[in-house]
Amino acid sequence: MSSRNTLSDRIGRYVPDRFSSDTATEPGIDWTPYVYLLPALVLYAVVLVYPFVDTFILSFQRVTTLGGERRWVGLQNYEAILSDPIFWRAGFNTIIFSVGMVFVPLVLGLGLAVLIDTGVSGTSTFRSLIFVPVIVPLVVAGIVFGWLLGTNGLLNSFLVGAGIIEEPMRFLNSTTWSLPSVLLMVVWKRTGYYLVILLAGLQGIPDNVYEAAKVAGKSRWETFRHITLPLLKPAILVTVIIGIIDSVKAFAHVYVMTGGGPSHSSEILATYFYKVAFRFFQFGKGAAYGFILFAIALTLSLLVIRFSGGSEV
Amino acid sequence: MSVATRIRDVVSGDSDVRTVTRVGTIGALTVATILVAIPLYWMVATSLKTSVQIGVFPPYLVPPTPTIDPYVDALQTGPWAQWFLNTVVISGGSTLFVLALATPAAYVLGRREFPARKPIYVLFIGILMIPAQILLIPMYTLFSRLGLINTRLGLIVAYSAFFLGFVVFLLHSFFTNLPDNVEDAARIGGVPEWRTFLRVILPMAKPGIATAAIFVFVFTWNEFLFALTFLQTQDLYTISVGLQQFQGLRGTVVYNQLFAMSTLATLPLMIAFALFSEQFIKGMAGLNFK
Repeated sequence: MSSRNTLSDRIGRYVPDRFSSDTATEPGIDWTPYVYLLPALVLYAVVLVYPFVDTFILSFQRVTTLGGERRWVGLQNYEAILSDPIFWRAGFNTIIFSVGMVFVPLVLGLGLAVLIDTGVSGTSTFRSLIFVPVIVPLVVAGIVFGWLLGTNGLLNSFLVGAGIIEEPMRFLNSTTWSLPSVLLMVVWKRTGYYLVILLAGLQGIPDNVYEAAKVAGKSRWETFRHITLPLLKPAILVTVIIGIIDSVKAFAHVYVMTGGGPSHSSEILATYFYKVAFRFFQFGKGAAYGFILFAIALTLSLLVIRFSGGSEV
Repeated sequence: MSVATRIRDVVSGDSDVRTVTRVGTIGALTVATILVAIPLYWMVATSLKTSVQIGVFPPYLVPPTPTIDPYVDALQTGPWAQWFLNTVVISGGSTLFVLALATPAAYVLGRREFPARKPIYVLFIGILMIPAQILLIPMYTLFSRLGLINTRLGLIVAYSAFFLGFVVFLLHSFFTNLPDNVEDAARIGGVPEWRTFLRVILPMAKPGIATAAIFVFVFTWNEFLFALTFLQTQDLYTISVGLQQFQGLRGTVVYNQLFAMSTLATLPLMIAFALFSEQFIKGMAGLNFK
């Protein structure tokens, strides 16, 4: 077969061969690309597109058992969620969570990236070391931080030892500290991620830009403020968008450490979504909830792209 | 180091200032690294303590009598070995499956001209915008109808679908950047297209495929939400679900065992990272620019 193909291909440039499978000379549609795409498209359609459409339909229905009878209820599911005070509580917490997840690692990552980019020898090793938490499983990170912040954990031992507090604090059981505790873990896990994105951005700025600034007698801060930052905008934008989408998706971070408690003080949109759908078994309401999440993630990303005036992404 | 600073160093010879900057930079980075390392150190340190030692407050900063008993006890008393095996099967299976589907797709999208090319590419990238968990409920229904709930295969199919867009995206830029004339040369040599793809293009794209494989493996190894929802029998848990359930069940009594297993769960990723850190970091940093 291959030898025949070989021959026909050789001749095929000049003499159309109707038996050859890839005859570019024959007019009509060349199906080869679609053959390569087919398996991926089938998986995509069955496992993602169909459920996506089904979620949308389900969000206007009431179902008591999965796969059971569905009844149309109009916008009731959406109304039920939007009038649920815990949803708003979770939404507010997600904003705090988002700020902690986006801006704290961004500032830390930027500072570290600038330090590493100074060109002092040996600094690239630090990049790899600070990146390590990114690949640590979320569940492991949650368990370890839960233990670090526990009553007989390292942090309490340090705070009591230093005389800052008298009694060990139950950080994860406190309505004030539960969310910041989770955020501490999030910052630990994300700083390295942002660091590598921002560092790649910094290294992409050509040296002669800095040289020009130096010749013009700009100070270090001026150079950073007026040259580095604007040139780094695409990279910063990327970290902000990823951060926002991830904070709407974030689930295991909170689920493992606090489960959303105590009394919803660390509840975020995704953990409450999971409770509505799989603990309270309100699938229609859960589907509507899912679409609200989707709309939020999409709107926020579009807003960020718009306001930063960037079409770079 | 930029050329300007280098020249300035040589000309002005203010090496004292440079030393101060150098020490300051290295110092600040060292502090940051120590802060990053503390939780991981604490995980390993706790995993080497006895049950009595972990209850002491203030805690021992260094295990007084390091022991691997927590590792042995956990592996003997719990289904940890099974959970590790499940995770390897699911992560490995997803990686192979998604690469088998995404590589040919990314290849034609990156290197062939055809009418539907652009819309199909946008379709694949579009998945990246959907938070996967909103599909949780209908996927659960669909998978239970197909008999894929509570199976490793079901999770492999789900993960492959989630990472499809990502891998197509990653490999697309890789294929686009290969030299243009590869196929032409093969074509003139009379090699059919599918052989060119398998024998010429694939080997050239190896670094890109390896990067994608590492990413998918690490991400699926760490995935929690879908594993938690789709796997209900204890025998089928992945390591992440196992750790979380074990924490809930056993409380603080056997935290040393929990940490021993956490350390084991992290170890393969650390080894992979040590071996491929450059690809990993470059992939992660470059991911969002192309």
